Amino acid sequence: MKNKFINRVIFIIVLSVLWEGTVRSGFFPKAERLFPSLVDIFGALAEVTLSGELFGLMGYSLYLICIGLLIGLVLALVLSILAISSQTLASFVDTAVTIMHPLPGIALLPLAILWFGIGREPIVFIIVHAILWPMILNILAGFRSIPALYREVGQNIGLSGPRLAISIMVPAAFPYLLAGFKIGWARAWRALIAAEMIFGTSGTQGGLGWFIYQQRYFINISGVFAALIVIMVIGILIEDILFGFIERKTVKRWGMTA
Amino acid sequence: MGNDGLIHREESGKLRVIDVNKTFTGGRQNLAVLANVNIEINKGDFVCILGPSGCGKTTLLRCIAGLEKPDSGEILLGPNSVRGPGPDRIVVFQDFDQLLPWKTVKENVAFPLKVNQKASRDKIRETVNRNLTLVGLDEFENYYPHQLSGGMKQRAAIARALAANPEVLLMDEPFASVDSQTRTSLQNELIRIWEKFQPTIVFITHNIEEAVILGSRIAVMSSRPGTIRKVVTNGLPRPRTVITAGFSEIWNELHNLLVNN
Ligand SMILES: Nc1ncnc2c1ncn2[C@@H]1O[C@H](COP(=O)(O)OP(=O)(O)O)[C@@H](O)[C@H]1O
Ligand SMILES: [Mg+2]
Repeated sequence: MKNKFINRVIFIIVLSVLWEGTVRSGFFPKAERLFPSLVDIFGALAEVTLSGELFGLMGYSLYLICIGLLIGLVLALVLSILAISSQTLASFVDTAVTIMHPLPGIALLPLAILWFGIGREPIVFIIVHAILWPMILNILAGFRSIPALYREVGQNIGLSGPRLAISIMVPAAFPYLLAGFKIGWARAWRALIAAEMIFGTSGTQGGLGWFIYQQRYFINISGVFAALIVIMVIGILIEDILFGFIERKTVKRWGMTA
Repeated sequence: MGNDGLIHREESGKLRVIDVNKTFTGGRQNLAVLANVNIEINKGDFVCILGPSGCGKTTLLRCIAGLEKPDSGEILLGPNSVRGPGPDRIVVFQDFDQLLPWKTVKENVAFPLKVNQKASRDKIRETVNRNLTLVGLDEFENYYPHQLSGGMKQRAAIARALAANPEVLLMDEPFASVDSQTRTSLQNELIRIWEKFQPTIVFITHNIEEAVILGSRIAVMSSRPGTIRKVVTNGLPRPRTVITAGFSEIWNELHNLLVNN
């Protein structure tokens, strides 16, 4: 853990030095237009941070992603529980996943606009689409991996139906659920930024994706890079710190691995 | 049965296995596992079912538990026909992994009480503490199953089974995979528990010595398809060891029954 952290810091320092060296060497003419110096990038970052604009952008993006993740998770759980309780529903869900999983969210944009107009709803729709299908695949794989013994222990003490599913199946499949949720998060984050660039432009409120789009429009390349850094940092924080924490509190503590 | 016009009051809590047959139909051939199994077990009795491995002992136990459905015949607990699994017949499996890994020892033991919502919080706490002390796990109540040895896991499983307060405790070679020293102490604990609470116990084993140490009656099964060959009454005084007077006579009788299959 400590080692991993130190390695990362060293890697980032080396990368920054190379970047700054390339920009300052004047090796590429007009480089500062396309590859701004770190000083400019962090200047832009400081500006949006100090003005408070950054928190509005982050808050908006994280708000949308939380809604999308919540809806996606609940739908994925409900559909997966239905799929394991009936053979007919299983083939229905299976078909839906097979058809929808390979479909890129961006391909659904025209439909999302027709159905929801422009604003938050189509973005949430794209996020839900991005995470629902891979999460169903993971949850079902998790349910199917549960040893018969756990189910029998549950039935033996008097559980059946939805109570059995919630008390036994969900925790027994938890390593898979968590893995599915991690994939869901990563896909949602990508889908969000992409969708915001298209939908976020009309309203008064916008998120990080919309900000990138806006900065490009004003040819403020430092601002684009500043937003990219924020997006990367949030991704790393959630994946390493939040999911790392959840893993330590659950599957690692229980001695369960997928 | 029961067609003599008289209505019998079933002796309360008696477990009766009547003409049970079970064939597994898997792949191309059928496997007859149980053939006309009959046995009656009184409330509070400690019955061992002894048979060679593969003779259908586990299948019989699973039929009683309601986890497996007999092809024909009937299983009655008191006046009620067994239709499926239920907390009146709790199984302690051979498998160490029967504890739920996401719950601590304490939570595993409390689980049947919480599911059946029969007790208040304080009562649950009290029962869990009592049962953990009974099996000597009170200091490990906050451990997770993966932190326990095999013998400790089986102790916790017994504590959990007792928490459900079942009429019948169904034990499927629960001590078969622990070392012999641990097995002896687990056997002693089980006897103490039985003497204290007098649950009906059906204890499966392929180990003659274990059957003689534990059972008040020992039902010997034939090899597959399993039937009950004979039920031997074991009146040796408790606590029993291999040097208790009369041990070897019963051991020999059981041995002969098993060998002359
Ligand atoms: N679910 C099943 N499907 C098919 N065959 C089974 C099944 N369960 C057990 N058997 C077979 O039935 C026989 C008896 O098994 P079991 O009851 O576990 O015996 P024992 O517990 O006495 O060793 C074995 O040959 C076993 O392979
Ligand atoms: Mg067996």
